[in-house]
Amino acid sequence: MKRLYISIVLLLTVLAGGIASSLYIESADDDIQRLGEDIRQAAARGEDTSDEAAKLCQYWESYSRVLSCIENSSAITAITAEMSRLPALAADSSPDLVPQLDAVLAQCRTLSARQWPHLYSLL
Amino acid sequence: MLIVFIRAFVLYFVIVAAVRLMGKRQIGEMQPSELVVTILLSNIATLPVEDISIPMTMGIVPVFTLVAIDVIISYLSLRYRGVRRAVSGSAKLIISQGKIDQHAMRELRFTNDDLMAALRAQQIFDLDDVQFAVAETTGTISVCPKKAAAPPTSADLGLSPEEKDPPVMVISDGQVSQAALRHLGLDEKWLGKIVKASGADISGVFLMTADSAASYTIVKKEDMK
Repeated sequence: MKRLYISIVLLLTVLAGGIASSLYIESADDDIQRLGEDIRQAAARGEDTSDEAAKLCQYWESYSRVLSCIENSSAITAITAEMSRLPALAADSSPDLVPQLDAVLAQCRTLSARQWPHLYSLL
Repeated sequence: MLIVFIRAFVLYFVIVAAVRLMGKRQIGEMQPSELVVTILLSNIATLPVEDISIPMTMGIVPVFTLVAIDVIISYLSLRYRGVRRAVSGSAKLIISQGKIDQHAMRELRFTNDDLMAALRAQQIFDLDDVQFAVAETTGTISVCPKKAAAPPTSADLGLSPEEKDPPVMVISDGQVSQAALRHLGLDEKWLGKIVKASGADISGVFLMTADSAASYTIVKKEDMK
């Protein structure tokens, strides 16, 4: 009977942990999308986007540390590599900034979306 | 390298805890569902050890999820016969009244060689000596020999030997088992007296077994120098 209770507690803990981690990733992704939107708007206005890009990179740095306990690090490394190009593109006011930003945000969105049980994330 | 070492170290304890949670049966004969969990456990545990890009939670979470499901299914099997039959199947009679049920053997994909090997493992070398045999859900064969082929029991010989529990280990390598003393209804005072009478002290006893206050065996430690 003790084993049964331990097992039920374990199963509920794992389930709660899974839901909590998915919610955390979703909330962090919302922040990333918001920071990305700030860069996009600043770029559209023709303003300097260096500060916004630095803020996004800083946020990703702290977020990726937590994320590495939940997600496969190869997925995180791929986004980090794309993200690291943003400050240089922002400093040069490059026209490639927005497409690069879109690519990064899409990767982050995919990472967040696959935490929830959809048919494609389960398969 | 250090990360792999630490991961292996942590996962060792995780798997030991998981197997302990699954219970003693896991170490002996396994039901089909338990076999599946054991195979999965061994594979899942090695992945995060070998590949450090996989977070360790990816190893720990499925291990505990599988074990928890297994324990819950075991509990449900215990409560409900239908669940038990669905998860573990049911035992099948393959020899009944000395006659082989060929249909059952075909259904179990059990060859004649398998049957003869199972019988030999139970010290039965002649098929005619078997009254009935059952293929258990764990895959083992239980055999009941014909009365004429079975060794005589005390009852067959008209004997009525005294029924008593087998001896238990009271001292192991100088360590007293309080549980064994409680089981025998004896105490350390009695133990001290007995050990002293044998010319040793408790720490000098290698092994002591007893089944009552009057029936015991003491093996003293040898001098290893």
